[in-house]
Amino acid sequence: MFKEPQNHINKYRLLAISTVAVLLFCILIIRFFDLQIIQHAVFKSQAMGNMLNRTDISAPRGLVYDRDGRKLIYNIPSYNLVVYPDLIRQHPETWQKLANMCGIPVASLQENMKRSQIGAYRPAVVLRNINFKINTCINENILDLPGAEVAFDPVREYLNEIKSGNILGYTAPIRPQDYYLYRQQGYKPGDFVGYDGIEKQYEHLLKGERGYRYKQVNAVGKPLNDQAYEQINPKPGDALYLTIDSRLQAEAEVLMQKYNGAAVLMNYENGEILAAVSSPGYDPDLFNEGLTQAQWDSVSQDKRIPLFNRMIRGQYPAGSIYKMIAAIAGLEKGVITPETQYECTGIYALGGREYRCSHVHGMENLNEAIAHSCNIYFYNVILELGVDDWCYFQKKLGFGELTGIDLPGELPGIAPDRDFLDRQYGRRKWWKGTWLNMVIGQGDVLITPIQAVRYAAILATRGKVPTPHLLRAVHSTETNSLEYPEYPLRKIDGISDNTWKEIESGMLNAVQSNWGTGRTANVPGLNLFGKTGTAQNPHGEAHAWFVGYSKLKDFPYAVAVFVEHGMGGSDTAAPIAGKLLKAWYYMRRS
Amino acid sequence: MRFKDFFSLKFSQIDISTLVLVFILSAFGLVAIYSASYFVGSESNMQYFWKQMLGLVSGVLMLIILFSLRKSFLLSYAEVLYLIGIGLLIIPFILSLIGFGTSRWINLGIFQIQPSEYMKFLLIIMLAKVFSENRRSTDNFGYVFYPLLILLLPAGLVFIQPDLGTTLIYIVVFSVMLFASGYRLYYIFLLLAPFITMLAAFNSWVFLIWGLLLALVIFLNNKNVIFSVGMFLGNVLVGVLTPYFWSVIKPYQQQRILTMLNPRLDPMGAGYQVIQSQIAIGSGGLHGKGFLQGTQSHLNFLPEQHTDFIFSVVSEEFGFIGISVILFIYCFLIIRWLGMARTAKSTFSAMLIIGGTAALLAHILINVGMTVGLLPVTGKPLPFISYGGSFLMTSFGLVGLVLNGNAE
Repeated sequence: MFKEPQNHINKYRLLAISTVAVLLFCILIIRFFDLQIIQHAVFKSQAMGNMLNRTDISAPRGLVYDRDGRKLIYNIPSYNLVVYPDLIRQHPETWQKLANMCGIPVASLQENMKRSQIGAYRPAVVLRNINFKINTCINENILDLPGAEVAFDPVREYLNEIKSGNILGYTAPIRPQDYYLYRQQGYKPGDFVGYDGIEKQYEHLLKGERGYRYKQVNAVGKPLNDQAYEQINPKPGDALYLTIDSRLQAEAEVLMQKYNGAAVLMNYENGEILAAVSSPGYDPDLFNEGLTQAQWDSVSQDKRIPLFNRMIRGQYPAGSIYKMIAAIAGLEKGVITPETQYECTGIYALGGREYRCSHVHGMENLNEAIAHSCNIYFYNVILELGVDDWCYFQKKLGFGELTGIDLPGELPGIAPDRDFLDRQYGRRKWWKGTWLNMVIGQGDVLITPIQAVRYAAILATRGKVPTPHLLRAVHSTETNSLEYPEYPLRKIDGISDNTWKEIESGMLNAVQSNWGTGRTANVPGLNLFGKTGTAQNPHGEAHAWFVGYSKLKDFPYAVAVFVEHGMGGSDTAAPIAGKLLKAWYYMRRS
Repeated sequence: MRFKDFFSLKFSQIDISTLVLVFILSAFGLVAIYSASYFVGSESNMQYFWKQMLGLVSGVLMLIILFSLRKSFLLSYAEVLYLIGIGLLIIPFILSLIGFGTSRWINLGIFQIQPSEYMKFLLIIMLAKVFSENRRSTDNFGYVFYPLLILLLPAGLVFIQPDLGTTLIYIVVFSVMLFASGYRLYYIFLLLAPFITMLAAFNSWVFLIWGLLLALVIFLNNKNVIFSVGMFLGNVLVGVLTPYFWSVIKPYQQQRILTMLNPRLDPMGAGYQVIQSQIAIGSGGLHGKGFLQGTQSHLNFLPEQHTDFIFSVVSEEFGFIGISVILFIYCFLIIRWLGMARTAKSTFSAMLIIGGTAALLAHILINVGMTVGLLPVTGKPLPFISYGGSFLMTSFGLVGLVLNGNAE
């Protein structure tokens, strides 16, 4: 017989089960509240970080114009072949296909990748500046080339006429040994930075600010589509307006082409440099398109050392252009007057040694001594004067110190004084004969061409010391305004006007008289003043110098020309200086 | 035998509000699966959606079958059905031993069956029968031995598959039914004691305190000295042996056990899932990101997002508000079913309801607890919402069992 069923379940136990179930649900709700309301902000940002992948957009580097707004340095589109190291490792067959398309062996492509690789997931450049044909070929077959890609990356282009890579500089990917210098400033490996010249000096203005593109990615980091989720545009670098005149610069390069040396033309009122040549130069474009080892060797091992900026780093004996120091010192200290005469017999004997002059000048006053560049006159002056007073004026005229030109790596030369000689030869080991060498710019004296042009400017302005510079104005992309940087302009005092006048008349005769050593520089109508120098040196033929300036109204330009082993100042340096000034005179008028 | 001997179609007695709420949850599930299988940048994949629809239809069929089975038939054939279930559990195990397939599924060509799922019904029916028959002896400790044997047989087989999650479900179902049967709390405590002892054994102070507590409880509850002392010493023995066994096994074996208990120790595997799941939930906020707007799920950061981690998708897109609604519906259903157990016409019916409810509750808690990082990742889906036809049939079947218990 089937028993009438009964429900014996204890209702309190059911109540207990229900209570526990509700409590457990409450725990879950509390947990959700904690995650979704209290910790919401944290997880929200984590989710954003999860979904977005940031890629850099490099900022267009600032353009560089000459003083009239002609483009000196600009950017042109370029395409690089890049590979993703992690992907191409999975698809090694891509290498052979790329090699066939580019006509370059696999090994050298792989070598390039190793050199530019920055980790497995970032594109590494294997070939820069590929031509249109290769570009199209790769893009058409891109589906068969897993791991490879063509990347757009503008390169620097320099005005073709100008080969002064040592003045303008060049850009190149940061060299591994330099990376520590750049890392803290936010650079990444593989970024292009300015090396040498203006590109290096004004790197901070030119580089601009990197932008970023955020793309949505899935869990393995693969972008979902090509659209940017968010984009922060890069800030282009500032544009620079240089003091250089590109036409004159090109002309100056041509004038210096045959020689090793330097030529500078500068506005002596304000220090603006119109043309600056260190010869031989090099074509900065060579570097921007990715230098091959052979190209690098040809530049770096060239016997004429084009990488060496002679204008600011070349330290040479000054030769006769140094003589005005003794003249100024003598006049100021009252050792000589304009009328004081010394006899030049061609040879000066001191302590059993003979010190020579170029000619037998006979009796000479100061004016003639400058114009003829008579050594013996100045031997007498320094012996009367003593070395310390001479040194005082040597320093005053700016030798032995940096001019402050806005180029990297300037050297100060040597303006020897008592301390220097003590260090060099030992106390009391040097004597008056040493002075005789120094007074004519020989011996331990070393100056740079940029110091020489500043010296000419000081003489031209009767004691105003400009700061030579190449940057005229900055066009800031942030404020969209032109800013003119200010450069220090010093005045030398304690030198009387009469002294300056005497020096000037000597320099006038040196150029404008038909018996001056610098007459080969003369350009009728430009009212030129100048001084030649022929510097003996142990390496071979004498170096040729010329410093000078025009006193024409509204034509305040000083010039310095230095030619390595150029024999005599009047032979090589002076004609170049004259041509340069003349060229500028006509260019300015046109 | 005729159809009527097995089935009675008592649709008038079906609980409408249960059906409505279950269908609301299923609809939520369809929405969530559509979203979870919708990837940005690729064609919307409707395949999962339609398969889930098909699963729902099968689930409803399953519900009707289990709802309609006569209780007299269940009572008479409980043991037979149970043994068939055990047999099916052993078959794939043997097949895997001789190199055919994995040990969880039986492959029947066009579809696969997972015996451990059907075992849930059979276990509940079997236990319901046992617990409703042995009414008078719940004051006896030995009362538990027979039901425990019925549990351990399938639980052991599932555990060595290894499927920790399902084992856990069986244990929860058994425990809740045992508790509801009126078995003495003290005995339940004694059954749990060895497990607590094992955990306590790793710290001498905790072990000492636990030992004192155990001694006190045993002293207060039992007059049989031999039984009491035996129980206590047994626990002490377990406590002493546990650290010994732990130190004897190899480090990689230790690691395997730890990872099984807490998969978050494996950072690239389950740990990654839990972290991504929490990011998805947390980033949803109060309102959620909106339908199809979840970044975690649509950008494929969430693994298993349409099955085990479906709740993360819901949390991300519908926020705290959406989650609260769903959890409230679950909670409401559980309480309503437990209420049915109180008013059921027989202990057997009540036990069917309690067993089915316990199984569903266990699934919900294990899945959601895993999703929010409170419980280990055991890979258990969420009833009515997770993708998967097989599990939908289980879930609806359990509802059918509950509603069957509720009907006369």
